[in-house]
Amino acid sequence: MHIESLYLLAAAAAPATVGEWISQYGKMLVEGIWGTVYMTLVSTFIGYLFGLPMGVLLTVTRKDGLKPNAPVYKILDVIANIVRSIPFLILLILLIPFTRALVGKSYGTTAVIVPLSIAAIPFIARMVESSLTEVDAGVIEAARSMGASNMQIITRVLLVEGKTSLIVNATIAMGTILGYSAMAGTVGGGGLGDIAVRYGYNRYIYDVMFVTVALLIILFQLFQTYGMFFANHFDRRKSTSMKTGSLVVFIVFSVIMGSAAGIGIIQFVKTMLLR
Amino acid sequence: MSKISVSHLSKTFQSADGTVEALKDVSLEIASGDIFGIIGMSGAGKSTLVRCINYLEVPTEGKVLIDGKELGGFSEKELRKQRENIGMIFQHFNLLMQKSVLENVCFPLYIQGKKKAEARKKAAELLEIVGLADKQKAYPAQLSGGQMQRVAIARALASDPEILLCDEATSALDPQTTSSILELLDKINKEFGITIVIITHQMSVVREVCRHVAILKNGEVVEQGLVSDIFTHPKTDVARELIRKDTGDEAEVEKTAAMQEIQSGEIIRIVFSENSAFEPVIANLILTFREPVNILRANTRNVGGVAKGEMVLQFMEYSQNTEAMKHYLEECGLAVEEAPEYAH
Repeated sequence: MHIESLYLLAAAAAPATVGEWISQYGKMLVEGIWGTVYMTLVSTFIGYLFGLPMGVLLTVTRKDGLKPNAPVYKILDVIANIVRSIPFLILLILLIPFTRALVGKSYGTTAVIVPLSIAAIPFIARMVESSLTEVDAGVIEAARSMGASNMQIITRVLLVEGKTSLIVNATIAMGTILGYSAMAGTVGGGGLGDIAVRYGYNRYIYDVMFVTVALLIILFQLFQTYGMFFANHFDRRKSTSMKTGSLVVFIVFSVIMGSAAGIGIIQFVKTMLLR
Repeated sequence: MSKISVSHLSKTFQSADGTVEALKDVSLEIASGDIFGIIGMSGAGKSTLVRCINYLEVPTEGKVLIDGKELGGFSEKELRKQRENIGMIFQHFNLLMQKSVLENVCFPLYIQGKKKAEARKKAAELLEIVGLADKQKAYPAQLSGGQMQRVAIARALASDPEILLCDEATSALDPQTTSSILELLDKINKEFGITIVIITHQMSVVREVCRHVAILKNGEVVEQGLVSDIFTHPKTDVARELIRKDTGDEAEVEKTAAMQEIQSGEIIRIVFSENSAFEPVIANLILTFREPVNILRANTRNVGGVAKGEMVLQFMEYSQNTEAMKHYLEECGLAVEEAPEYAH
């Protein structure tokens, strides 16, 4: 009875026209889109900031790596496995004290970046490891025969030859982080996921939830298409010639993505410093 | 003093199924400016041996000396410096697939800390030498196997090495491309005086360009010396087998049953050198002994730039004159070898 009345209440307040709908929810949805983009891009950035070196270290210290080191590999391996074995939602709750110490609060988009990044680091490290171990051992041997040091092999061979695979995996990582960020909505994480949970699950306003889900799908598609295009076009194993039209779209999207990431990172750093 | 001196080299690998002895007490002396072939069937230890020469594999026992300096005595850093003096090319070319041809050739120069402009200038010159001046901006995936190997050769020459190691460098190429790559190696050897070590399983490669050869079997050197000597007088079964399998570009034809019936007497292989090739030796042989011989195979081969005639003959089954005929052929200045391996 109680629930039904709530539902009626919500239905009564529902806007009659599209124009009204937009004026009622538009601002919130735009903020939601930004929240999601902000969390995804900044967490992916921080994830790579630490995950890339960790992945390189995993690759190098492997048994068949450039400089095998069983203890270092084992430690990183165990850390990666532990973090990855904790379901994200639980990690999110588990990290609340840490997040609060770092950001000052445990809800909202900036706070969610902390557990998102921590979940992303080992995931990204594994992705990087798999990309780099795929690099043809023959090319590494050729570099060694020319007198290259391990550091030169990492920067000039592994990261160069693994490029395509690294970009594909970054796209996958970004998609996963986007999904996680939506999950954070259940504990007031902000962004589109948060809106979907509040309106769809708590208030039964399904139209808002559907639009939110559609926006999430569109965002995911954009990231995915962009990443794959990027990976394929810059793969020199394939002879590609890009049409001017798609090149323009690609550049425009790159600029948007780049500035979004830039603004996001600045916002994140500011929020951390100004608390 | 030898350019490369390998003495009493052994290498064992630890694997799950126990230890594998890849090389057993191998000793080689390779002179400066030589083209030295190391030949053997797969699994003979050739690749391990060549990797010990630039210490990509550290030998279990024994020494490798380059210009009299022992590689084992160098630190990791000194060893890297030393490797700049030893170029290497591979069966699968091992180029950077994500970099242009020019950048691939620049790679070793960047490793040495050369400036971009300087490296590019040098790389362009090298691409000219290997005949790929027009492919600077292409990517390896757009090239044929032969072209990729040329890029690899240019890359190996970028650091002005005195030694070039070729690990099965022509094994992934067709016969025509193989010949053109071998010609290029020969040119490099002559023009720059670079000592070349060629690892291969193809006798034709050794025959065409190498001056000296070592035959490897199960990690041991079973025979070594001048290519022309081994071609005319192979001492071991491995050498004979490699020569027999060397079909060059002639087709390997299935022997028919009829042919096998004819083949029943003793088989010999004779090798004509230049001066003995003028006389009609076989015709004279038949006229002298009034007895037919069966010609199983005849060919002219390029042994280090010298044409050598090779013929496999079979005497009649109950011939009384076998020994006399062999003697006659030797009198004519031919190298005569018993060659039962040709009977199949």
